[in-house]
This record gives sequence, C-alpha cells and structure tokens, in this order.
Amino acid sequence: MATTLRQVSQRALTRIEDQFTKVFGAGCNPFFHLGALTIYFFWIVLVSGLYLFAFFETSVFGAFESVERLTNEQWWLGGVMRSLHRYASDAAVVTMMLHLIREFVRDRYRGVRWYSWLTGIPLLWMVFLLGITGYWLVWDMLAQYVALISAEYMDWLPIFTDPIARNFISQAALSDRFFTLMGFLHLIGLPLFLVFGVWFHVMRIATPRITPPRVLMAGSFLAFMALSLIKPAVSHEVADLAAVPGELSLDWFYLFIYPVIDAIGPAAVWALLTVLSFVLMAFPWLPRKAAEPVAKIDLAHCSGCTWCANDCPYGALTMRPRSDGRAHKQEVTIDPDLCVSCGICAGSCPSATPFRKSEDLTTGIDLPQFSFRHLRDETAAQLARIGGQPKVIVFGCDHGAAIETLRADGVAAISMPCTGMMPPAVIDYALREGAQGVVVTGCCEGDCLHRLGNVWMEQRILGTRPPQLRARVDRDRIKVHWASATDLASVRQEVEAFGKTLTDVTPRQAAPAKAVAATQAEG
Amino acid sequence: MKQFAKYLGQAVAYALLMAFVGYFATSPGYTYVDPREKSVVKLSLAHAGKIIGECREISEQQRKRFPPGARIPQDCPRERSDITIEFNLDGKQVFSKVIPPTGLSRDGAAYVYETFVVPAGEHQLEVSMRDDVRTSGFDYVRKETVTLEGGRMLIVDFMPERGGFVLVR
Repeated sequence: MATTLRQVSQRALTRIEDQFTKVFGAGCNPFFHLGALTIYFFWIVLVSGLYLFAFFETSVFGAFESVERLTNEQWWLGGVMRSLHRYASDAAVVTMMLHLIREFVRDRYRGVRWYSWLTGIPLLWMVFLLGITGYWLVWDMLAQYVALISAEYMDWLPIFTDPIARNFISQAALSDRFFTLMGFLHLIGLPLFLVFGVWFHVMRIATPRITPPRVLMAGSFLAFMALSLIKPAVSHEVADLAAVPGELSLDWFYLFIYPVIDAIGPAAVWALLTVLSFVLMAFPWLPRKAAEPVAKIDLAHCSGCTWCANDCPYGALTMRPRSDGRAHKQEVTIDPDLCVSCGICAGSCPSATPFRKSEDLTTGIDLPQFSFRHLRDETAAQLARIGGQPKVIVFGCDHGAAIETLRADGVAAISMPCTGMMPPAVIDYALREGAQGVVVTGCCEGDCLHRLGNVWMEQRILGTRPPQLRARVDRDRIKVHWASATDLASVRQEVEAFGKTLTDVTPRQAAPAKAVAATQAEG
Repeated sequence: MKQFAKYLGQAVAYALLMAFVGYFATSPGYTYVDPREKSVVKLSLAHAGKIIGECREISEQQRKRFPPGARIPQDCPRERSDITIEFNLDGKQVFSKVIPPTGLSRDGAAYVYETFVVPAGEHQLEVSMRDDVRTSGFDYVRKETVTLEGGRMLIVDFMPERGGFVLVR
C-alpha cells in the first residue's frame, strides 16, 4: 500500500517537474534546487535585514515609528528592502516545504540519508521562530496579537511562575528590554542557530549544492523586486494594549498556527506540534529502509589513486596510509554507515577496465550486487544475442526511464543502480563487441538520485574527469540523453533517431570530445 | 519561437510564485475578535496569600546567638495560603479556582491570567478573592457595572496598595 502510494506520488511529482524542465531546462529546474533556493532566499533576507536593522529602534515607542519611517519616507529603498525581507522569507517557507515533501516522495530520507532528514526537522521550527520574532519587532496590532497569543501559548507550559502574557496587559507593563530581547533573538540568536543547523544538515554529503543556478537567482530576485513594488509590505495600526487585535492581515506562511491556537487552545497545539515533530523525525525508521550491501574494497587491486574518494557523493570513502605493505602510498577505506550502494566508486576505479585479461576481473572497489564483471559480461551477452542493424546498446539506471522496455531487434539495454557506476571504458568495450552505437541515459539532468552520477558520467565521456573515455573512441557513436522516470518516450525517440545516424558512421573514427557536447545540445 | 515559449513559460512561473507569495503574505484576512461587536475582559493578577501559621517571638537572648544581620524579632513560617478567586459576569460564574502559591516551599505569589470575550455593551462584574485559609468567605470583593466599547480591553487586576481589585482600561 505504502509502496503504491509512493510510486503514484513519485510519478505525479515527476510529471510536474517535467513541465518545469521543459520551461526552465533540466539544469535550472527550480525543483532540483529547492534546498539551494531556500538558502539563497535567506541571503536576500539577511542583506535586507541588515539594512532594516540599521534604522530600527529597539524600544516600545521607537520600533513602530522607525519601521513606518523606513516604509513611507524611504519607500524607494527602505520600503523595498522591507518588502524584499518579507517576500523572500515567505518564499523560503515555500521552497523549504517543497524540499521536505520532495525528499519524502523521492524516498531520499531513509537509510544513509536519515541524518540529513533528522537534522532538517529542527530547521523547520527555527525558520518559523525566526519569522515569528520578526513580526513581533514591528510592534503594530499584528505584532501585539502575535505577542499575546505566543505568550499565552508559552504560559501553558508549567515552567513559568509569572505568566508571560501579563507583560502585554498594559503599556506600563511593557519595557524596552522586551525589544532588545526580541532583537537579539531575531538578529543574532536564531540566525546563528540556523547557520549551524544548515551546516549540520549538509555535512554528511560531499559537494553539497548550496547555491542555485544564476538564472534562478536572478529570476526569483526580479520577481521579489516586482512584487515589492506592486504590493509593498506595510504595517497595521500601532500596537495599543488597551485595544483588542481585531481584523488582521496574517502572513499565513509564518503565522498559520495562531488561528489554530485560537481555535483549539494551546494544550492541543502543543500536543499536535510535539507529536508531528517526533513523527517527522521518526520517518526514516517508519519503516527502516532495507540496507543493501555496501561497496567492497579489494586492496590487491587498489592503487590508492583517490578517484573513488573524490567521486563519492556521500563522503563514504576516505584515503589512509597503506596498510598492506604495497608500494602505493595510500589505500581507500569505506564507512559503511555512509555508503548508499550507488556504485559510483566502481565507475571511477582505474582497475575497472573490461579489456583486462584477468580471469576473475576483480577491481579495486566494486558493488557486490551489481559487479563490474557482471556489467561487462551482460554487455557482451546482450550484444551477442540481439540481431538487426544497426546494433545499439542503451546503458541506463534503475531510477530513470525504464530502459528494459526498449529491448528490441537491434537494441540492447542494461539498467544498473546508477549510470555513474559505469566506467567509460565499457562504452569502448561495447563498440568493440559489435555495437554500432551506445546510448547513455539515467536520471534527469540535475536530479540524479545519487546526486552526482550523471554529472560524473558526462564529464568522464567528455574527458574532463578521470577515468576518461579514450580519445580515439568515435564520439559520433555515443549519445548521452538524461531523462526522468516518466520520460521513456523521449529516450525511445532518441534511440531511434540515433540509430538512423549510425549508418553513416565509420567505425573507430576518433573525434574530439566536443562532439559529445554538440550531440547533447541537439538533444 | 521555441525559445520565446520557454521565456514565456518562465515568466508565467515567476508570476505564479509572486501571486502565491503576495496573496498568502496578507490574505485571507483573519478576525481574532470582531471589534464592532466584541470586547475582552482579562482577569490578571499576581498576589501572595497570607502566611499560614503564627509567627513566634524570638527573645533577646535567643537573638544574640544569631549573627548581627540575622537577628529578626519573629520567626515566621514560609508557606502561604492558596487564594480562592471567583469571577461573575452578568450574574453568571465564569471563573472559580483555588490557586496554590508558587515555589517549592509554597512561599511565592499565586497568579491568575484568564481571558473572557464578551459582547460590547453594559456588563455587571463581580470579582471575589480569599487569600487566607484561616478565614471563611471572601476577603476582597468588588462589584461594578461597566460599559465596554467594541474592540477595547478591560483588565481586572489586584493591587492591595490601592485597596484591592482595580479595573484598568
């Protein structure tokens, strides 16, 4: 049941993302950069917030007045900054929640990835707290409402003797120190926690993507600017503790919980949020993901070249001094708790060449459940089996389009845990074994399930990352086409179109690496 | 044309983001308390009940055994009485509670903070408090007829220095 639900939601999500890929291109699809976009939006919040703070007065009477001056007398900069501050924070909630939903639907929160999921949950509350404290600082009627309900909410906990809410019953009860405290929380305390929180969140992945593509940065910034000019952020009436907050323009991104507190009371909301937090944090173990065998190292074939350690997207491989007395300085070691069994390390191992004469074809590092030897043997077997001309072999991954369905007369297809686990020499091998063309596919560009598999594969073919595909291999006989799981049609189309071009290709015709880029651009 | 369609699609996507963020940043409106029809009465006070038990006189001779700064004339127990509060609005009891003193030794103040949303207009308030477990009945009572404007707040506080319950608008 859960698996079916996940598959249905995955397909639905992929279909939505495919539409964005058509419009933005795979490299700039905002769905593939949700975490990075959230961080970028907080950069806008930080810069605009620093400007606002320069003019903000942390006092009961000065807070509202200083914000009003910025909004009205300096609308062309202060007002715009205030609006940018608000809208970028609101958009950050949108991207953050989409990020959470997407990682859940894509099943990227269990197994080794539990750490990033778990450390992401406190970030949610920090972000909401940051937004809420920001609304207090304006000290208008909305701030008064937020302060009052927050105080009543906190007072439910049996840890305060004097109810906090009593500080908001009259103007005389309120002191400037309250604004100093809120200013500290909003400007230093919570942002500092947030920075550390983000650091913890990404620390277990190699080369985390924390900056979105420039096109998205420019586009979203212009959108916020336009929104700031069309609908500038403004305050309610000044806070009046003798009056009751009445009709309010709530920021639902941050303040949605307040009407809920009004409706069901603080006790129920405390229970709801506590249960929700613990359930969210427990998700990686509900149920636990079945662990696959991790990559296996064979020191007899490891030269300590560091390529696998450089390529591992999860930092599961590290180098250490040689322990077996061989002449090489280093050897690779694996942390099983970090290995996701993607096999990308096997694809980067220089010993993983199908042309080796060694009978057992053992490599320095390999994936037990889909060994390099299996890949080589399957390549040879499928090419020997298929008839028809021209012969094309498609290499893809288990998480992209289902390429097995492409198998037909003249078309062989091999699906593996990640395309990045294929050493480029296999392409050369396939061409020598009788294939006239090789199609490399896998997860959509910018959205590899294992983060970097398709990126590394493409760079290896282009010759910009070791191990490189030999220069003498005819690039006109290679087609790279990344596609999402729902985009099998485009892979089929590419394979058919590519097959038609192969009749004119002379075997073993070496071409510069640029040719691959050109064929991708056409695609 | 294809490129133009892509740019157009991007513009639509950004416009949708702007519309979504712009709308939910302030809308739909939310009414906490309708200022045209409702007002709020808050019963909010902090008061330490009377000490339970009798103080014991300390003789001059006994006092001399203490350090000079600790030579107090009486030795009093720390524990304070619970306070009993009742609040009636228009003849109907809306709040009645016995509140213990705070602190591990039950020597702190007792606190009350309650909110009542009422229709704007005239109301009869009656608030009573007993702060000594050794007495019966109420030590402090205040009855008042008040007219509350819509959207305004009335605080019922307790200030012994001002004679007991006070109404703060």
